[in-house]
Amino acid sequence: MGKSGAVSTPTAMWLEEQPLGFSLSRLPGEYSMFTREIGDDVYFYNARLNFTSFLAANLSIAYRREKAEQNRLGIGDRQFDLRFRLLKEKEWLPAVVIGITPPGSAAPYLSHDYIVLTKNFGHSLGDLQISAGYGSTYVFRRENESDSYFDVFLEKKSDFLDTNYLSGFFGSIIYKPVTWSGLMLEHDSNTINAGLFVTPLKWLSLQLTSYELKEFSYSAAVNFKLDLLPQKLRTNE
Amino acid sequence: MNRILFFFVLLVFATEASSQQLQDSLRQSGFENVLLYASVEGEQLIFENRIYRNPGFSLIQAQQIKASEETLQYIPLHHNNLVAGYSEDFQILEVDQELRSFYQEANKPFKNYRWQFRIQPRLATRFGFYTDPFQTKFNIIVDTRIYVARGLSLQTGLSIPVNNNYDNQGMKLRAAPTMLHYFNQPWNDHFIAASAGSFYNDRYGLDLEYRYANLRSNWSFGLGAGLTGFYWLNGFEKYSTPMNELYLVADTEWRTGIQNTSIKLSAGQFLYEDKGVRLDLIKQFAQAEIGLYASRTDIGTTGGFQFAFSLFPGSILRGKKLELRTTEEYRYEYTYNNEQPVAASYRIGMPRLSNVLRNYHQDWVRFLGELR
Repeated sequence: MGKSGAVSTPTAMWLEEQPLGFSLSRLPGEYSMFTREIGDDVYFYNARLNFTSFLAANLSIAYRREKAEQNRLGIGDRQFDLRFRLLKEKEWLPAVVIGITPPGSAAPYLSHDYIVLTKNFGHSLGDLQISAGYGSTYVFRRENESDSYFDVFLEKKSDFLDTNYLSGFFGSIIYKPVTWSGLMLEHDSNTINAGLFVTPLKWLSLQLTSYELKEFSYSAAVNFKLDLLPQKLRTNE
Repeated sequence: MNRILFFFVLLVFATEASSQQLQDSLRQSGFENVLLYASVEGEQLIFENRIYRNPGFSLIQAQQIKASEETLQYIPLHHNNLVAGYSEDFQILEVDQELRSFYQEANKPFKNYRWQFRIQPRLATRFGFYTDPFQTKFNIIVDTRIYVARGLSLQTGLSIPVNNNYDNQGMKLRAAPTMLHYFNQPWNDHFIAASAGSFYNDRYGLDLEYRYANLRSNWSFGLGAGLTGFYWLNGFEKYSTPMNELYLVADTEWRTGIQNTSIKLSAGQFLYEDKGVRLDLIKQFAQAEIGLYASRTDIGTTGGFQFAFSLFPGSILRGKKLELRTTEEYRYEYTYNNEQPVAASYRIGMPRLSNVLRNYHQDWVRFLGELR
């Protein structure tokens, strides 16, 4: 969902060569971060920018058609978060990333704060990527009536959300037998999900996903290089 | 003796012919006001290239066009005036008095430029209202800029409305922002820009910018002042409020030295007498500049992002004296809180000095050079 990750959990991977990314994912309503109600699918639009090799920003819009009609939400919930890479992956050490949603929302359904570790293992039968993380069970919430973004209080996520998405331990395993495709299995601290992805082009990634093998869905992401000379000035191609 | 004289004359002719050839090749590739100056420190190639946002790109292109054994110094102009010089390995060179004097003589604002027509979209958006979630105003602007004296241009054009469910402006063809703009570097590292006319964001009036920027240093300081009013055009119908709103904002920008990022802190009185501060984090990529910002003022607190890039394809039609192209800088800004104008500013039709000079910084130009 915009960030480097498995089906709906983040990993500590960092697309250094492709600092700009956009993605669209459909989440079945009962498996979204909002609710366990059936039917109200969430369309998750995301833009990602890596400012540096250790700081990235994500902007997401979660569009719920039915909810939008009921509650006059318009385009949907907007969410902004930052990712900090604390450690690059080394031979014996995993990559470590923390993700933080700046406080200030009165309805922080999409807020998530987590730490995640990822380690890659190469093998002749394919590459294996293992990630494990912990998502905060508390969230900052702005006072409903307040105009100030600093008027926030700490609240337990489970007190206003009936899902546990990225709240507690989560983890994923990604297996890539070939460079252009792979399988994913994850626990998002709520449910167990699986997926199949293909990267037919360097900048395009397509996913078929399944939530507890009960619901199927999809997501697509494009990722771009930005430090390129204009075509006619490139001499090294 | 006669034989030596003959070879000497031949050598002079050959050098002149090769200089002429270089100037012609550069002109054909979209360069304008191409001048060669044989200074005591070596040959200096002066030029303006309005196709690229990044002067570094025009330096690279000039290097590719000239003969490989030649060593030149490159002086890319901005708005028909001198900014800085660069060596073959993109080290900054001072603009000295000798070069200033030569440029003053040789610069021909009318003769040495093409008449360029520039196409750019203008998009204003507001998201979030339930009844109309995507409120947009989309115009296509075709404008032109003619240099009338050194560093002074007249810019005007037509704004063609395509769609508007954003405000009450009608769909009639109208004048695009029309202004006189002046840019100069009276003393090294001190830059000024002055504008008078109608601007973007529905403002008209006077605008003055000063910036101290040593293009080797990581710090730069600026002051922007404007005395503007609101204006509204629809065909020949017009409405305006008096030109009495003061905009006065000082800023300091720090190039962090970390992967082409900069942090800029601005404070003062923004539009609508809104006093406060704005903090920008700016990242330069070769193909785009992307920034995040947060602002806190009397009106409220908000954040957002902005980006700027050259529109594809650049030059569409190029003749000896005419050119049709897409804009060298399309800039879009999104603010989270879009109902109240927190720390609002306006654009003048030329990029702001901080945005221009960031691209002339030695570290940035050298970074682009390494992408070759």
